[in-house]
Amino acid sequence: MKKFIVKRILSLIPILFLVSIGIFSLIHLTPGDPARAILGDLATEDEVMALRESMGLNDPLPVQYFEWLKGVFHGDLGHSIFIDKPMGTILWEHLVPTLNLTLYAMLIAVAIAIPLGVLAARKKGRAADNTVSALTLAGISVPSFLMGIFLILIFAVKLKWLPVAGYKTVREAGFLTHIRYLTLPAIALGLMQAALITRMTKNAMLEVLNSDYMKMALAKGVKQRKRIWKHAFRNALIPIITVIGQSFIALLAGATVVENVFNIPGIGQLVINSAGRRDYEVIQATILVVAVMSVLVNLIVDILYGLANPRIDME
Amino acid sequence: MAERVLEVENLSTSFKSKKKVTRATDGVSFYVERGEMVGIVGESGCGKSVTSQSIMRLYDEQDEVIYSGSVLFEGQNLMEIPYKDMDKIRGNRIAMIFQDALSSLNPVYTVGNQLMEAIRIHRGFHRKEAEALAVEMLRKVGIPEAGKRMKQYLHELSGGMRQRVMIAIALSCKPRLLIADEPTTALDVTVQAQIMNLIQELKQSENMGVILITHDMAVVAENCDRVMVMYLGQMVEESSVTEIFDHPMHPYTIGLIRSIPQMSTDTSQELYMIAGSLPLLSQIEGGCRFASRCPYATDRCRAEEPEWTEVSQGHRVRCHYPVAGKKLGE
Amino acid sequence: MLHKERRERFLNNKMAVIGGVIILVIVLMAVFAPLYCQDPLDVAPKIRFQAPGRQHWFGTDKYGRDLFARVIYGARVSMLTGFTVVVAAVLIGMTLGLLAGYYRKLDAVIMRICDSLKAIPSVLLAIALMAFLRAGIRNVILTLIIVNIPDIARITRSQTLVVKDQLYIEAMKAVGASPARVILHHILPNVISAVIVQVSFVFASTIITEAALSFLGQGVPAPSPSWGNILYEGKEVMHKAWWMIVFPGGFTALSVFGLNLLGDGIRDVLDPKAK
Repeated sequence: MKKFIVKRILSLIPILFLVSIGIFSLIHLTPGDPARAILGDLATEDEVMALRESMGLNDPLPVQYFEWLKGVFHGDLGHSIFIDKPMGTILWEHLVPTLNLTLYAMLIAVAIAIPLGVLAARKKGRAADNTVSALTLAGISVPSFLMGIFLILIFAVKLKWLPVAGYKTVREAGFLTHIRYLTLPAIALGLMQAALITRMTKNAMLEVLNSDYMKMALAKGVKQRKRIWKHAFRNALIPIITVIGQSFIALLAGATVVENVFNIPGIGQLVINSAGRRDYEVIQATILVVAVMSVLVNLIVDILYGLANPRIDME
Repeated sequence: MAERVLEVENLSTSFKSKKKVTRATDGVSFYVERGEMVGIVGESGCGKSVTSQSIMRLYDEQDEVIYSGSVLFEGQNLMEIPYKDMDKIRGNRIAMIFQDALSSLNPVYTVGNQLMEAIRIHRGFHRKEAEALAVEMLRKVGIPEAGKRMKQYLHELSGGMRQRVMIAIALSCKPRLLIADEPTTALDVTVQAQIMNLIQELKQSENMGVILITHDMAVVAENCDRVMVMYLGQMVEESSVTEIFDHPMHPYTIGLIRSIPQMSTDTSQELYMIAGSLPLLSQIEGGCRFASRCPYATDRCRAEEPEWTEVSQGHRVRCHYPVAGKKLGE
Repeated sequence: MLHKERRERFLNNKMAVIGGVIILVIVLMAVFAPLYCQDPLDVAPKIRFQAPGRQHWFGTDKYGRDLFARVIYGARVSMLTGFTVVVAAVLIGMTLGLLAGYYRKLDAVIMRICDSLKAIPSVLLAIALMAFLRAGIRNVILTLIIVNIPDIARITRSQTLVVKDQLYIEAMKAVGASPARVILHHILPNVISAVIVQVSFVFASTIITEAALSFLGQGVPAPSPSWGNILYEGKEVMHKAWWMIVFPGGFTALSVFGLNLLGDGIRDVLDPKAK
């Protein structure tokens, strides 16, 4: 087990190295001079030169890269030219709403998907299965930001059940209000992943339900409910874990879009606002953090997959 | 006469799909006494597994199934009791072992977990008691280091060991009837003999009835007391084992007996094979179902379905010309 | 024979045919838009926020522009983007996948690059790229091509590895067939159906991402209409002009729905085992 984890972590090094090069290079994608782009047409040539110097843009590229990487390793992710706070603080403040939204959406997706997927597999070919298939097809056809707009129109504008947009922290408004504000965005975000996980759960369950050990469990006299959950679902869980891991990353990325629909001050809004004001280092830092998070989630999923499947020899 | 554990009367099983109803077995009748091993023999697709799984009503949940006839188990007709009550019978009073232990045991649970499951369901034991009995069962089926095996997973055991575990699970609640569906087919020859000996021993010590499903007449000859031969969902011959090997009546039975590889020095002797291949039931239009492959078939065989008739005490056959068949056997 | 069989299987799949028809209708509407639509940029301040009616089927927006024309011209953007991205991403991704699968030395390099591109979730990668490039449809297309290459390369590579180990490929190499010949004539035909299965789904995700980018102001810039930027304008006024979100949103969902149906159908035909 330890060996497996160490090996898996070592394999991340080249990927993270390439990711860092990619993120570093983003700044050089801007047409023309990045410093000029940041300062705008009104800045004088001297101002631009000064900024170039302070950004290190006059150094050769490899030097620039290693300077940047050195900073990253020392926890220096760069500076915002608009928000007067350390980058770490900026990121953390915006990451909290995004993570809350992501986890809430994940909870909704799994709570919907697993019962529906199991039901569809058990009732394959019958009305319940067909209904679930239609729902999942609809679910994967409506992108989350669009779902968000539709939900606002129905539940906030017409029915006035929930707030139109905004974000309230637990500290300033209490847990219930916090949840009330996050509910529509979390549903908007979670539904498409719910549909994907439902499909996956159904397929995994179908495969398991037809297996010989399910017949054996039946012949042993195990009751139906226990056969479905203890014997079938526990096996189906192995592929489902992988999908849930992928869903988490998809939700995190999707959250950045949905935040802009619901005006939630998360990293998505941070990136879009920073893009508008050409605050490039903030974008780079955010992308780097998300990339590291997604790599780590994949690592955790791989470990869980191994733990859930005794057939995998982790040594 | 010994007590009959199981008495199957005119059992037919059909499966309903979207378009049609397929009849898988047709009017199967037989009985099993305590301490007796009855073989059901035939090629795959002849209905031997369908018959045994119908007895335990294993199809009710997954498929649209229609049964007719009766299955009297210790005086209770299993076709008429509420389906829920089957949970109390399966694994408890009737147990089953399958061909492939690797796919029939759950890969994500330990041997101990799966063994204790049946014990705790049917005997209401606490964890400790169940564990003790589970270890005892593993010893009983000849597994060394039983305590260690309890914590192992399926993939850590050898093929013969897995089969023993499955037998231990099946016998843990002292069933009156054991259905063994090709229990040795997936195993090496030496292991095959060990497993069959184990089943024989346990049959004696527990005084239970055993139904042995197989395609191998040699296994029947060595182990069974009585045998029934099935072809395309029907019984074609039934008798005691000694009688059937001495006086086989149905041409199909004779074919099966002649297909047993002989230990002889004469290498020029080719292995006998029954001509043709198994037709689909839907291709049969009246007449004897075996007619298309029978060397003795006449026009009568092709037109008129033979009756199920008793030719001597306990020896029944479904053939217009049982004597012709007998000649073939000599 | 085989093709006929496949065609029949596809046509027997009602859902797939419905999906295909939906997409075909949207494409035709988009292609012939100039023949029957008003000018999507034609401003008429007197008729701002008119509800759908006989004159303007889908109503008008805050500048009095005809929403029907804008939505249909938006379809042109979506279809053009989707089509270009699919073609380019498939060509590049397949080439990379074939090379990675065939040449072991290239494999590590190409796949590590793909892995690192995959490490950044595609929506976020697209937003980041667009933030540094200039907004505009050309850069949107470029960005979406980059985002979609890794998956196609990965699928192609794994199929290539399967085919490559088969005996007849070994035999071809042994008799001295050139790598190009082996790859193009013997591996490619065996790999292509796995990629075709993905085409519809890549198209769908491209439409979604383009709409999201334009919605966020990082895609097609105003005043050119695209479903995403119409939705952005609509979101601000949805309490008084529901048509501003229902029509562009409905078209987005409908085309993604059609592509998903079509994709499921193609998969059932080409790869009946996978589900």
